[in-house]
Amino acid sequence: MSTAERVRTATRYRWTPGDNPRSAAAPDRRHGDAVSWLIGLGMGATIALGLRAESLSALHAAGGPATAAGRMTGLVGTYLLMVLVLLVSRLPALERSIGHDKLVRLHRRIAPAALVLLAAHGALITIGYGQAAKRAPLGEFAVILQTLPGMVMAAAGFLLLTAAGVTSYRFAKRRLKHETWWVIHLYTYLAVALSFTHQIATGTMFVNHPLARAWWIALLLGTAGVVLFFRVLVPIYRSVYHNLRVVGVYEEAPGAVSIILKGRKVERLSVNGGQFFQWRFLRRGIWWQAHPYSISAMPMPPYLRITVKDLGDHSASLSRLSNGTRVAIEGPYGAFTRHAASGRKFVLVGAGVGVTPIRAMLEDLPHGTDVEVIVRASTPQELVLDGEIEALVASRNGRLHRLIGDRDHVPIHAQALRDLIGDLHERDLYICGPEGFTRRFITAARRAGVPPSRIHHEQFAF
Amino acid sequence: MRRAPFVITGTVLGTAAVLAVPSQGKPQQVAVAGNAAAAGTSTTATKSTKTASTNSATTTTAKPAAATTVTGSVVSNQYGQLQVKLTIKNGKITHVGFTTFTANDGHSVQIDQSSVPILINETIAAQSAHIQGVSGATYTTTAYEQSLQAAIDKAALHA
Repeated sequence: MSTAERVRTATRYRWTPGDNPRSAAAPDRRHGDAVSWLIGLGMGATIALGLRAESLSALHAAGGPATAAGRMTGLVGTYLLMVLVLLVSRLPALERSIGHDKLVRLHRRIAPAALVLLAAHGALITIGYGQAAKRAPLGEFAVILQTLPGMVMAAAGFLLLTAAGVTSYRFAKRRLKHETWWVIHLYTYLAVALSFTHQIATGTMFVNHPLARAWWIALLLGTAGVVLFFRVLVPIYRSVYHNLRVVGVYEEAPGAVSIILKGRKVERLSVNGGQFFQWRFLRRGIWWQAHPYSISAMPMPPYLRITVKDLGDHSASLSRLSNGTRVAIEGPYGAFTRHAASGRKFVLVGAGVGVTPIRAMLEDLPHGTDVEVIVRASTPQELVLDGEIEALVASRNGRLHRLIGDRDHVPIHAQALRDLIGDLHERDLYICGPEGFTRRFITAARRAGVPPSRIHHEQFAF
Repeated sequence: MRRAPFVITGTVLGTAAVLAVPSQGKPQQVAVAGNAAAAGTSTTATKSTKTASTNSATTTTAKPAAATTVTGSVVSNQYGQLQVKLTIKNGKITHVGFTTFTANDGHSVQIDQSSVPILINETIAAQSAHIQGVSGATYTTTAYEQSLQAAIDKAALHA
């Protein structure tokens, strides 16, 4: 590509207001509802299996209560494990109606419960079987490992799950590279597979119960199928199909660069402003890192654009990306879009490089939408994409508020927000920025009377 | 969190629905040597009888000793059901088999399969139902002893 063409690309990209080539339609909330129902029904069926495996005589036998509790914790723990996998499986029904960040938060909240249940399962079964066999728990543990089928694999699986759990706590995650954490997490799939043999081979509810066994196998295969399809096959297909390549890297502001990508049939990507992709730049040394960046403009076939903060070990090397670098994508993900709004009046808030999804969303809003935009930076030079935002706000007859200065000079509290936007409490609020800023802004907005259901934000710090 | 009620209601409905379905479970055959009900063990049984009769044909003095079989009582507990079948020759227990041996769950199958060979060896060594048993297989041992005692009692009656 010639230099002249590159400049033309960039110029066209910077200055043409988008005409929304393919703005994704609103997600069907019923899909999310249906998945929730199914998850509930599956949990019920699982609990019922555990209940049916019980009998009064078995409960009264030696070790009966411990064994029964162990069986139930194992069943529910394993089912929760499947739910955990499903929550982050990129299933569009969940991804679009609940939102990626909320799913991840849900995943993190349920995960400890699943681990505790599975640990309790191991301990209770060992105690129960030990009582029935008149053996001490430690001795019984050795006997179980040696005699029951699939037990060594199951124990190994539990260790892998524990490793994934421990490395996900904040103190551990801070000390680990994201990729190390990711690989350890990848082993949880192996853990689920390893633990399966002992469930089917020794579980009272499965041995001799073909229906129960079929349901359990279907649950595992179904979950595996969803993961394989949406986390592996769809991203590979999209990456190959669209064949994206870097065609330009431009500095937008000190420490912020835009990367322009060109691809095939980009118009077929159904995406909304505010959504993000996982980007993988296929260059030696960084191809195995995937990082989430929002598109900073609606796709303009054949071009896509992201704008990233030029800091950190990954992003720093992005500014040196050479033209022609192939790019693999996963996505689009996220529910931080115009469809999340319950009204027709918007306030979009972007701090620092957090204005990028705001910029794209602004372009995605229908003409005539009542919109107010707040951008936040320490100095005017640090405002990212300011010219584009100004033009887009003007074309929608909105108002742009620039909050410039350090934290002490730019107060963010309820009264300040009310002074800025009089009808704040009647609007849907979209916030994207650093965690501290987002938290302060949300607190102030709630005090100013914005109902929580109208406050939308997405956290990238997973 | 708007969907939490769906999940909870779904859980309750799912539990109720599955509990309402009639039980399909049936006990499992325990694969131990001599369980006549389990497939593949009958051939060995006939074979050993044959060898026994050939051996007795070569002995000169006494008339061929006829091997008799007696069955014990059917004993069941919450883990399964068994019935001992003894082969007795010259007043000695030469073989222990089962007309029926089932377990209700996978764990019990495991226990039965590992403990029964020991119980059989103990029986043939002790030639009575007064055996040591297998620790860790208390229920299997008790049921086995009970059925075995019944078989021995019956054999003594017929002798």
